[in-house]
Formats: sequence, structure tokens, C-alpha cells
Amino acid sequence: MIDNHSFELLVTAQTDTLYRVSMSMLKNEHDAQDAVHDAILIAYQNRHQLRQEQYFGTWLTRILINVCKKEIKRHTRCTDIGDQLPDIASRDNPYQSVEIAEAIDALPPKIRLTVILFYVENYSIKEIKSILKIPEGTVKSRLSKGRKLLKEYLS
Amino acid sequence: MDNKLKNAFKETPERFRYTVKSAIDEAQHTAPSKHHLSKGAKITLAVILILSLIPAAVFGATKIIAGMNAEKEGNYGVKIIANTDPEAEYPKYVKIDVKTPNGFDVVPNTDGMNFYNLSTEEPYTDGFSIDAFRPNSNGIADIADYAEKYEETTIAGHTAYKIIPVKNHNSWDRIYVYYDDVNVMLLIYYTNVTDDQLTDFIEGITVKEGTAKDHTEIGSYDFDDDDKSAADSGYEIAEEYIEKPLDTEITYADFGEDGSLADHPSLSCRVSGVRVLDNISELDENGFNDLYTYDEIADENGSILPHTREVWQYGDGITTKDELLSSEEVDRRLVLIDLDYTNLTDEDRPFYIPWRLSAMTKNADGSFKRSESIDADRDIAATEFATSEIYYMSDHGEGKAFYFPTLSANESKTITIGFIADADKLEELYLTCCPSSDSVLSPSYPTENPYTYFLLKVL
Repeated sequence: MIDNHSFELLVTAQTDTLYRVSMSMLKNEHDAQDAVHDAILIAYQNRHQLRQEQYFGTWLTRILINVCKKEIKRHTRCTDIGDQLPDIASRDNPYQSVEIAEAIDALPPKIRLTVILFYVENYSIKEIKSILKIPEGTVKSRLSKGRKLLKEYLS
Repeated sequence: MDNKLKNAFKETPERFRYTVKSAIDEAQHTAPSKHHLSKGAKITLAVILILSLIPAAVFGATKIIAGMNAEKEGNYGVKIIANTDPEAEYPKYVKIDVKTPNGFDVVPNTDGMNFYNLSTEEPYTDGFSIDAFRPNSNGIADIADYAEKYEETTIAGHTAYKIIPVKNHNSWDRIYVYYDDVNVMLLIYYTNVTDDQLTDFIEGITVKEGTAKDHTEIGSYDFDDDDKSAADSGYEIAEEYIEKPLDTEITYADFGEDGSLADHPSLSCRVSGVRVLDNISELDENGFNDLYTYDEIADENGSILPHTREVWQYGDGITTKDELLSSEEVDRRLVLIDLDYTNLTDEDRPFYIPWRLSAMTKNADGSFKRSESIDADRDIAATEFATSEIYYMSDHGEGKAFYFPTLSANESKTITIGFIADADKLEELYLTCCPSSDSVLSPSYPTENPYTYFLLKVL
């Protein structure tokens, strides 16, 4: 099992991924920080389940995604999900530009997450298959649809 | 577009990094440790990790690359190897200047290392992208995958290796260029550019010693032989599938502020009917999920179009490549499923539709596997037998809230959802619902297996 020192190094090395994945899913930094906090605690408590350390990043990302999904469901039951998202400029915006932010935000959630994992986090299709627990063909079709939609949004 | 996405995010804020550090600290000081590594294993692991996290520049005092070589790795890999000279040193900081070639422009809002072809109709799809790095401590710079072969060449006085990708592999072309005076290797991705444009681009790049002010961050790939299999699943949290009768009543409960489920359900759902159609013209046109375009599903008369089913053997890019094993045209149908929902609360509320459709095969021991997975050990799989995402829903939420229709207080309503599926696989279709990730049916995560799916056989 991963010891404390290694755990700290491994998690710290994943900081950027944790930020980008949680922000792309939750869209505000406060919730994203909470989700990352919870994911790290869950990962630590369950680190004995990880059999090969080289897959730590994939494993932690999957835990984070599950925490974020849970938070989204909890949040949608507390607010009117029919409301429009606040304007990009008036909320936490992790993206370099409003144009790319709007394009990524406009993607359906599952496609958005797949696109982020592939293009931003550089996970392979097989790794995404493991993270999201979906068939490889689904990963590819989501990426294909994501590309198509992004081209429309960015054109 | 690929490069634009790669550089889409701002830098992680320091306050976020502090959150990560605080969470690590809290985890290690509140959660009990149940398992222990041997002392030797701990030391080995710590050394490996520390080495992998030290910036490459730290090694600069003792090593320098005196050139690079390339050699085949497996059948489709090319290992780019650095030859180190322990006597020399290289600068801690380098500055990379790139002259933008005619007809190209820098992708906006990036760090200036991506260039797109202005003549391309689709934005940011064609052009150049640069990755700069140093070899890792083992002298291995990179292992290019899905390479049919490589060619050694010299461009602008620099040794370079051009990677020729395997046929039909969908990726940008690659060339490694070595700048020996500063010990930096550039991996240049390019697509839809001419040889002359590639040469002009590389000739316009200068890499020289810099200062902390204009330092270009350069990492090294932590790539060793074990990484070839890194794409394979290394952790084994198995999915569990539990079959239930199609007319099972399923109740939903809300998560409370503390993350626990409420004692009383707030919503109930039961499948009340299934229909199979080969034409979608009678459906409410407002019910289609904008995830799909009409003409990829049906013709102008509404008849559902056949599609091409392919079977692939997926490779690792090093010893094996992706192989198309078969291809056939198959008819498709629309499977419509009526769901009777009841709002059990005294308030109007939107609710999430968690259902998806999967083709599943029951094994002799009663377990399930996805039908598309033909031979998991050999990584042979077919393209999807059904659209897992909902294709049609009436009624539904608007825009981004498509999956969230609304029920008034104590109202009962039939929601119809539809999926497109291969006609010869209808008997294998199951409605699926993952309790932890797609609904709030059970508080199983994380103490129990969070990947348990309920399966309802559709036909």
C-alpha cells in the first residue's frame, strides 16, 4: 500500500488535473475545492485497494469524478436546474478565454468530461474507458461528437 | 482545435494548491492506516517517486545529451534515446523562439507553441504544435507509438527523426528534433502541412540559453518499460450487475446536506411499456436529444438508417496496432420505453432521468458482460450496439437540463425515452442504472462497490 510520503507526492503531482476536472464539472471553485478535498480523503482511506501505484492518477481521477457527480446531484436538488448558468464573466472561470469556456460549457456533460480527459489531461482512450467505466467505442463516439460540436461552437 | 483544448485552462490557483495540501494533511492525520509496506519497498517507492518529480534541470550538473538515437521498440514503437555525456553541463533555462511561418498564426490564448493553418476551413485543426522536453534520468526521451517506421534526417542543422504513422491511425504526424547545444528535444506534431512548410517551420525555431525570466518550462517524460502497459486497467474494481424485473418499482431518495440519504423516497419510477419502431416521423420533433443530428439517424421520410458495425482489435501502439477485423451494415430500430414517474413530495421539482441502454450478454454463471466486448483478453470489441445516451425523450428539460423534466407536487406522469439500437441485438438490450453515479438510489459509495448497475431486460 502507498505510504504517506508517496501519497503526498502522488496527489501533489495530480493537482492540476484535480483542478481542471473538478472545475469543468462543478463550475465553481468553492464546490471544486470541496470535491477535491473529499476525493483525497476517500483515496487515502481506500488506498489499499490500489494494486499498482502507476495507476494512481487514473484511480484518483475516477474517485474525483464520482464525488463531483454526487455533488451535482445534490446541488440540482437544491436549486432550480432550469436556471441559466451565470454568465461566464461573472463566475469562476478556469479557462483561458471566454470563447473556449463557452464552447466547452455548451457540451453535454458526459461529452465535456470525456473531451477534457482526452485533450486536456492527455489520458488515452483506454485510460478514459477505465476512469468512466464505459466501452471504448463509447469513448470514441463521445470524442467524435465532442469534436463535431466544438467545431460548430468555435467556428 | 486539439491544441486549443490542451491549453484551454488557466494555471491552477495557489489557493487550490493549498486546498490539496490541506486535504493530504487532514487525510494523513485523521484516517487510520491499515496496511503497511515493507521498509525496502517504501524506500524503493520513495526514490522512484522523488526522481520522477525532480525537474529534469536538476540532473543538468552531471549529464548532457551528446546526441540522440532512435530504434524500433516492439512492432510499432520508436524509442528515442539520449546519449549522455557526464562531463558536460547544460543551461538551466532555455528560451525558445518560433518564427510564425507564412500562412499560419498562433492559436490564441495559448503559450504560443501552437500554430494553425489559416487556409483551413475548420479552425485550429491543421498546423503545428510543439512539445519541448528533456530525456528522463534513464536517457529515454520518448517512445513514439503507432509508428510504421521512422526516418532520420537533418533539418536546419539539427538531427531529427520523423515518425511515419501506421496506416489509418488517426493522429497528427510527429517529428523529434534535437538541439544539442542546450540539450532540449522538441517533439513537433503537424498535420496537413507540406514538407516545405515543415522545413520552414523548423528553420524558424531557435532554442538557446535563457534566464529565469524567459524560462520555458521543460519537463521530461517519466517513461519506462512498464508504461507500455499503463493504458491497461491496473486497478480492479469490478462492475457488478444486478438483474431486476422490467416492472420493478424503483424509488429515489434525496441526499441530505451531510451526504446521507433521506429516510423517505421523493420519487418513484416503473416501466409501463416498450415499443420498437423503424420510423421516427410520428415522434414529437422537440423530443430529440440535440446530441444527435437527424440525418445521422433517419432519412427524409423518417425511416431509421442502417449503420456500419465494425469489430476492432485494439492494440497498445507498441507491439500491436488497432486492426479492423470486420465491417457490416446492420439495420437499426428505435426502442421506446414508457416510464411512470410519481413525485412523492409536496413541492414541484425537476428530476434527473438516469436510465441508459446497454447490450448485455449473460454468462453461464449468471454474470453479465457488455455484448460489444467480444474478447476482453485480446481487446477485441465491436462498435456500440445501441446509443447509450437517450435519443428521444418526452417530456424533457430544456437546453442543458435536457435530462431533467419537471413534476408538480404529488404529480404522476409518463415519461417516454427512446434509444437507437441494432435490430439484431434487441434481445440483448437492458435498461441500466448505476446507483452511485447515475442516480441517488443507494448510498453505496464509497464503502461498498460503487459500480453496481441495475439491469432491466427490455424485451
